[in-house]
Amino acid sequence: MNRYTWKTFTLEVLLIGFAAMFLFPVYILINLAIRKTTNLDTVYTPTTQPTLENFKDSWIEGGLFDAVTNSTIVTVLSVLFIVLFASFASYPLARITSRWSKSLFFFVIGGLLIPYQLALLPLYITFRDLNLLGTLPSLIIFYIGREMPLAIFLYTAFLRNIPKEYEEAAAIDGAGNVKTFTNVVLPLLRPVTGTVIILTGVFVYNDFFTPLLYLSGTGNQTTTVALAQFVQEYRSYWNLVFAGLIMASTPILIVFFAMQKSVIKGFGGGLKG
Amino acid sequence: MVKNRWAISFLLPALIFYVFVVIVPSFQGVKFAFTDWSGFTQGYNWAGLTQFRRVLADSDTRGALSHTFVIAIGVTIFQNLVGLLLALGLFSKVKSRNLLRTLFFAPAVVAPVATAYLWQYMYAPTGPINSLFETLGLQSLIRDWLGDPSIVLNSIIVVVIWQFAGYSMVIYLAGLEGVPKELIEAAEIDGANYLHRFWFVVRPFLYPAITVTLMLSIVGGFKLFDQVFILTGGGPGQASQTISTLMYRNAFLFGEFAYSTALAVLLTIFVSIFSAIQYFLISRIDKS
Amino acid sequence: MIFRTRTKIVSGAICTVFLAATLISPAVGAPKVTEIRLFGNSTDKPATDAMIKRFQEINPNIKVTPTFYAVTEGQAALVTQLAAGTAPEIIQAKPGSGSADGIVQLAKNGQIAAINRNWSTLVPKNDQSLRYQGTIYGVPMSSQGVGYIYSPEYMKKAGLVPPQKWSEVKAFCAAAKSKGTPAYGAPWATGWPTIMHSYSVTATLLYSTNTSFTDDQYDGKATFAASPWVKSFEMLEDMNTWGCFNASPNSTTYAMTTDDLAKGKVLGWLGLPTIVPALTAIAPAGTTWSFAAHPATDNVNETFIPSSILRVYALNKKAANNLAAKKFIDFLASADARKIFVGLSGGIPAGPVPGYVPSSPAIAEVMKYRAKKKTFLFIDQQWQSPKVQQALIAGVQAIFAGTDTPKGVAEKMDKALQGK
Repeated sequence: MNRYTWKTFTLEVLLIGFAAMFLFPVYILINLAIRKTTNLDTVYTPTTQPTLENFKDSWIEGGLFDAVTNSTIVTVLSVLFIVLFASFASYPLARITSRWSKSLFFFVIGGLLIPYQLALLPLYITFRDLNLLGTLPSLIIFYIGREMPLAIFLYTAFLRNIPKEYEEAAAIDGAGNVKTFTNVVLPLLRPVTGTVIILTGVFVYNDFFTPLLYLSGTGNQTTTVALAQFVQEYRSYWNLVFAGLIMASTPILIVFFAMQKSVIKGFGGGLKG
Repeated sequence: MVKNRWAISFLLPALIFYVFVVIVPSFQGVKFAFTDWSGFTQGYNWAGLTQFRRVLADSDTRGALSHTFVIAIGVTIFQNLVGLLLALGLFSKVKSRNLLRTLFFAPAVVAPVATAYLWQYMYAPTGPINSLFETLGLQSLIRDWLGDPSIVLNSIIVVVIWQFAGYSMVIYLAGLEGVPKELIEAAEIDGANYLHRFWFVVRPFLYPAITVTLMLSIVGGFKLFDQVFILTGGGPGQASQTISTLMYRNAFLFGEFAYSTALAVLLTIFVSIFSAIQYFLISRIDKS
Repeated sequence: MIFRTRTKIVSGAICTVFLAATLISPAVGAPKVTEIRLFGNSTDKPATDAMIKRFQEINPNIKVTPTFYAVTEGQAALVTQLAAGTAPEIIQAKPGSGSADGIVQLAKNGQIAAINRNWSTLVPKNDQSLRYQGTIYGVPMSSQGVGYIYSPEYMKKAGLVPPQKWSEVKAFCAAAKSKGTPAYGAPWATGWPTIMHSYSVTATLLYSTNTSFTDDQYDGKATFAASPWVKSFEMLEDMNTWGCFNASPNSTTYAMTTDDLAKGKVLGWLGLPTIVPALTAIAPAGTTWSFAAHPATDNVNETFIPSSILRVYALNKKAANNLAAKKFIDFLASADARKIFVGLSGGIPAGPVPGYVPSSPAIAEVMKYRAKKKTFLFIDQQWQSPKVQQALIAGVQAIFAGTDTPKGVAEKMDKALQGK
């Protein structure tokens, strides 16, 4: 396993071959997005005279700037509050071992098993009656509540594996619960905070169904809803559509590529618990 | 319990949101399933088991339930299989492994809506996949990917796996990194071949990873909406309708809110039973 | 450590301010221009944009912002938005009660406002497709008809003539297929195109002689399963066996068929002249588009076509007291708006339009049938639930997928009609 042998070379070739097949759709996507609408070559011949006008057109026609802004606001605020509330909540759940604490933990985790479809319509009507539909806060409230079980689960499981010595030391030094938590525990939670941010951030940013229901038709659309609408309107113009797909995905891809290592590490790391 | 008074302020914000968004509406959902609530009008009447009777009598529902299961199980098994194989492949001295890891994982970060539209184009009767087969002389492989009811579910499953195999791969990679190297080397010295090494040494250490990724895949599989909605809208006919798309159709095309919540109750029951079975099976295997 | 806490508090505060700003900003800064929104059908985008432009010329202090949806997605989107209370003030809808966005359906749900203005001339007294309990709820813009849309140029090149008798269909399809251009484009994946054949055939075989069939159904005296509807599905199966349709109809979308038709890759489409503006944009210059009634028998004089009002607008109930919105509705009922609309969308104007000329030979043909009174309305207008049309759409797709039979589909439609 430590040397690069013939077997490793074969494996490398196989993997690269598989990656090529795997990336075929992406090749088509990019190939058509940079192609002028008048170009009628077959779909997989490489485009000879690339153009960037489709990207500009789709960005403008799809209203993607507003949509991406809305998605970003919703994602950032949702993730911020999820991290804040879930990390705080996990502290008593992890440290207090009485029966009510254990029951409360299962009460929260049970939410993972409830399909969102059950709460979907009643919550929808509640928001409507509160006149919150069509606004971004309705989505933010929804995501905070929705992601709480997973976030609390991750935080609590992780925290239970951390020894109490540091907190006990802080307590001896006279620190109260809040100070102990913020100064001692939170920094230790960094790996799982990374996981929570990534898991919830990606889920919230890419969510489609709920924004479709809550924001459809308003000027407050998120990226996914604006994208769907754009594709429906320009369905015949695949070059434009594909350019739109790329433009809509670019923000999150940029964040991903910039933070690859942390993203992938945060993924694996926090989930070990 | 005075000494634990501080816990209340720590727990309160999280609990308020959780109860408001998940608990209360879920109970309301269960309640409305026993009424004739239409969502538009304020009033509703009790209807006993009428909605459930209608749900179970409708052949579309039975179909949707089975399709939902097929997709959930298909995605879970194959996404994990592919993810595991990729992880094993990348857990080696292959030179391009970092690049490959990023490439395989990247689709998981993109919105399912975007990949669904891309694949809808790929699957078109004269789209890239069929055209490629045509050019390569592989006409026998040409299919009506989204229009043939016998393969439409498989086509949908492939799209989901394409997007999320990398996700499973990363989880398994993390699991593999947790296997003590000395054990593997000891097994190698003892003359165990690759398969033996994997089955006896590596596999037991993967159970946490397997549990997590299985749970995520199954829950995700049951929830699946975006891809089905965009790729086929439930068609052709009702061949790819799932519980999620059926709920959407009944609530937002027909205005049958109570009927839709009855569907959701049914789904909840099935998911709970399924999760319980899966949990017991895995913990049994883990213990042995 | 303390730094982190402070950062958290500060960022939390900033975000709270941000959140508050998001909530408050729409209320701050009262606009000088009144804004209203419009929910439109993407096929009519050019026409709608032009009408809005004209309206804004006349009313410079009213701004109308349209959003456009394809037919299928639009139905669900409209219902969603109405349920959410976020729907635009002006809504493009359908007549009758048989589709989710049917005027009568929306009026029944209390989601659109009565607009009984001085339009009695536009909506005839016995017309039930735009009225609910006697009150008018929709402004009609134009009528359409269902039939075989084709280009005389492409047809001449193929050396063929659209069939006028049912017995001619088989040979017509075989000849077209042999030339590599299927006779009938079949975009079943998009859903609504699946209804065209059955609507046409039953117009001739059933509704031409039995105009109260739907009433009988609701009285329990008639069913789809014991009517020419079953025959219409069998005829569809025959057409499929004869190679009339392009390959893989269940994966073919309306956009694909539009493209194919404009480029001559299919010889025609059994549908509506609403497709003509899009065809004109893609097809070679000089291509014209005509219309041939879809035969159901061998007696040409028996042929009826489905034809009635198709494009209508309604006023969101929430905007019932919105003066700007009501102004726009009044504008839509004017000859000015109608002229612009039919000029760019095609269709037969729902009211008088000075200097009107049919926008295509296809429309002219439809008008001939209307003049001969050989038409029946789009039957879904009489169905009291959108489930029937959805059962029809899913049924045709299922027949082509081999998962259902003509009788089975008719029975499902019966179940949907009875609201089971």
